Amino acid sequence: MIELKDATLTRKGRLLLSNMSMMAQSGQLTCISGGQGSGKTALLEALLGFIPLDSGLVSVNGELLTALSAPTFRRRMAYVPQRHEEHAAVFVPRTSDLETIWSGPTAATWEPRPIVQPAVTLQGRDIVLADDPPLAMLGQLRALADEGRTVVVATERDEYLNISDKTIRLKD
Amino acid sequence: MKITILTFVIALLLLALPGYVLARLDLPLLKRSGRGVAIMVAQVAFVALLTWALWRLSSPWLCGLWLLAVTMVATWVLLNRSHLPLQRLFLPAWIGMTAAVAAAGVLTLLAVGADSLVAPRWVVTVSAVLTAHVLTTNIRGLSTYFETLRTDSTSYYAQLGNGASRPTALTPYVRQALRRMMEPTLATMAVTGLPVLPMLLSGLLMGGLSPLQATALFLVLTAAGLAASVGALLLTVWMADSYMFDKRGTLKP
Repeated sequence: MIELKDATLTRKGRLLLSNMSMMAQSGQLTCISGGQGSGKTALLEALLGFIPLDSGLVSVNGELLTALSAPTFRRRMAYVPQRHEEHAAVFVPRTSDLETIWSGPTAATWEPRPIVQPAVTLQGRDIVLADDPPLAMLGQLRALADEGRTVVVATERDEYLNISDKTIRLKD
Repeated sequence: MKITILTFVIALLLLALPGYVLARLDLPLLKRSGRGVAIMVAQVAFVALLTWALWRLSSPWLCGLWLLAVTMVATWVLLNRSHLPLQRLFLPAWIGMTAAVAAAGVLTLLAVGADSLVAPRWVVTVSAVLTAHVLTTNIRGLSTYFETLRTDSTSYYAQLGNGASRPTALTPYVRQALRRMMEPTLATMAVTGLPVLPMLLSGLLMGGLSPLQATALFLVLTAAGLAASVGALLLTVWMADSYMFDKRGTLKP
């Protein structure tokens, strides 16, 4: 479970969130929707502890997420960034107990993609945060939520909104 | 070897041939070439004067200052050529370069059995060779590291978001920088010796060393140059960390 409470967030002088509260429960797929520039990515970044809130707090399973504790919490999270396809990322399970959210590129894809993503296991990760994932991941993200994980998806795609358990719409 | 002013001036007359060709073919390079040669002669003369003074004074302190000054200028050139922020990266890059050159230099002098670790004859020459190596290689290495991080930070945040530690998340960028840095050096190494005798080796031979000693010293200096380059890159990256990232690991604007 990941929770945002009374959060206000400003980026580059622009108010993105004002006293916003939300809770993404375990076993649910929570969608954050909103137009371009509405703050979906910034919200995910705040949940990951990358950017500080102006006020309010983020908690993970009831524990406060701070600049110091964020790296520890992130070990229990799986994160799919925007445009992850460009970085040779795929979301394909290898086995039932060892799934990968990222796969390293093959030798053929090394040259055009300078930066390599290592494989990240989903084992032991109960929170999945996906920023504008492709439709190809829809089934798998749903399945992860059904397994009991907390899945938060920032998206505008209707396909995701239709299968979500909860949708939070950010103001444009 | 004895160079007199007369023989030196006569030798410089060799420049008349390219000058004549440029003028004859009406190439618009004559002025630029002239200016380039003049600047080079002035710079070399200035450095020669300084080294002559160092030789005369033979002070370990001045040798240390010389090393600091050389690496300081090299760092300035490095950051300018790499189009990196001077204010933010000067200190880490300078410390990184100085420490790497000093460490590799001391090991080189120990390896070749130098009579003194602080004599200008050794400090000036070895630090010059190593600094030049670090400068040429790290222009590629550091610019690759910082530019890739700036333009393609998605991978960094992706790894961080997936629980990787900061050093782990930065490893692909360091790997990429090292790769870009080493490639030209390794390519040059592959053809060194057969088609062309390196300038450094030629200089050692002209300086009066036997071919075997000159070759050994050349190889030691090449190895030290590589070590200094890698060391300088890693130290700079490590020390630039707090200048580049905030406490959350987010890149500073």
